Amino acid sequence: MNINSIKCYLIILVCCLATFLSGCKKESTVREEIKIGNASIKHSSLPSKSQMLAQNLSKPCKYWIAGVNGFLEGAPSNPYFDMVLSQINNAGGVLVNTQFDTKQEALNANLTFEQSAVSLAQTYNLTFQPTGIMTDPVSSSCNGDIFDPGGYSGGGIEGGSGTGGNGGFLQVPLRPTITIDPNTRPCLESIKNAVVNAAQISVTMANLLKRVDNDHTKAQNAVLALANNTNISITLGEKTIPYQTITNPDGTTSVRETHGETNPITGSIKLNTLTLNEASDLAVTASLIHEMMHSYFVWGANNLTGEEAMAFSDLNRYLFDQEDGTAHPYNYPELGFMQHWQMGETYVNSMALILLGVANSKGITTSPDPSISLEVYCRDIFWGSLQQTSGLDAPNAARSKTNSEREYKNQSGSTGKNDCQP
Amino acid sequence: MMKNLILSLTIIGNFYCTATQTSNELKDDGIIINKIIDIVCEKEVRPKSVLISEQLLSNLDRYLTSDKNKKSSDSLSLLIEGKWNYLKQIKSDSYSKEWKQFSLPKAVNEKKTIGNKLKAEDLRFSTVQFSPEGTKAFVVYSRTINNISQGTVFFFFENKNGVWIHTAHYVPFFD
Repeated sequence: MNINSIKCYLIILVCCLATFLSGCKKESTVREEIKIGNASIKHSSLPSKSQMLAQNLSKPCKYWIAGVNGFLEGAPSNPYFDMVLSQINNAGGVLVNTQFDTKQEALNANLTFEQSAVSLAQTYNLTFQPTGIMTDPVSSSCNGDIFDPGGYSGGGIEGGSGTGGNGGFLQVPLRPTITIDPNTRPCLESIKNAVVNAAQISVTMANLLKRVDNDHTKAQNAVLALANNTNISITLGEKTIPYQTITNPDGTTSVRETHGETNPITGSIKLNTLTLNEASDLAVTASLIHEMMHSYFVWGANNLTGEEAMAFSDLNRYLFDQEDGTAHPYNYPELGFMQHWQMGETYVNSMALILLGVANSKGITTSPDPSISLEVYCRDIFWGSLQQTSGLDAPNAARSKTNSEREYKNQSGSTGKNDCQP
Repeated sequence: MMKNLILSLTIIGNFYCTATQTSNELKDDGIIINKIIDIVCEKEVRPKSVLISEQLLSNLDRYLTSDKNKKSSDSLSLLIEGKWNYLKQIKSDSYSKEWKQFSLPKAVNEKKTIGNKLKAEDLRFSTVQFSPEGTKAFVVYSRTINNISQGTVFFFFENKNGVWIHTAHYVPFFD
């Protein structure tokens, strides 16, 4: 064997070793490419170039993000990978299908998307890395001329990428303003975190879409106000609240099952130990969201000032005196009912979306009631409780009662119980 | 003979005292409940009657199970730890399920008395819980529609110079 042969073997050995190590590294993470827009995805809501040329001759300019690209990476065992991937893909899909009136708005939206995706990934111990960043990611159509710096038509708009604002983007991770009672079981903290994370995802995506005021984020904003505000300090714990059997004056009996309670003065929350022992994880999560709404009402009615207070009173009119506009005091006899009424009228759909987000993050993607979607099923769980605690009329009272009971009693066919064991 | 007479007088005396006390408490019950109705029906007309049952006191038991290991400092806790601490002794495993109807005067403070606002609406009260010396009182109030409670309120009263004064009321919890 001559020296050249030895060199050759050594080179092959080094190459094999490098390949092996590279392979090892790849095994420790999963990596998924995200590629939306450009040549691969067509703008479903945007007209074709020829249509634009024909239609936009006398119309103002329109701007859009031609495409988003990036990589999501994380440990193969990370259970949130698919959910985060799906959320980023959905948001990216919406972004490239949205038209903006100014270039700056488009740039801001693109920046918000990238920041949101990075933060969302971080929340779940994943990494999102935007790639293929163009000098100018904005395409536009002005009076029939299409500028597509991303490569559609080879044209280009001069100018920098811009930094823009972040459109109210909320930072994660969250500050611990909801303290867990040390005497309670550990699952409450993970459920609380799941609720806050699901709310965060919804709001992040809504910010991206500039839909911060729509019905899909009202409860999410309430949950985040509670979780992110350093002026709030509430405790989350558990206590046994026996199911109450009342004999009514007409001789009938009513059984009142209380899943949790909120202190009207401090806003602190206690979930019923009996519920934690018996109910499915989804029902426990619903109870926590319900009580967090009470806590938010307590805080909002008593602490907000100025424009924030006005916005709060506009949204939550049942918590205020209809004649003089002042907030009902903490000892107003009907306050509990008014808060339930407010939840039913204003928040229940967005509360259900938080619950849906938590369900998805736990791998629950189908409704146990095949006649309805999982989102509507989540709504039923909340309506079941509102019916029981305040007698509010649910859109479908019988179905809500059945579906709510299935989860609270963890009956056969429920979404199941894994987290909060007795 | 003399012995029997003394014994009989003692029994009659005891009976008279108890009957007078019960009669006074019943009168006080009425005064206190009327005062609560003035508060909860502030902008409304008064109902013709309300319902009273001891079993509503289970709401007090529920409240008292809070923070067993932790002392609370909110104003409701301070009342129950302070002047109204006799309430901590009244817990019962079997409250009476009986209901009594309590009729209200036809008009008070220019408010007219009419039937309950909604057909299925009831104003319900617990029995009034007086302190041993008779100067403090406590009542649980709940408005129900179709036998579903819309909320629970704790009312506290103090007797000052023979007059029952409303001291405070609290919503103890939101469900």
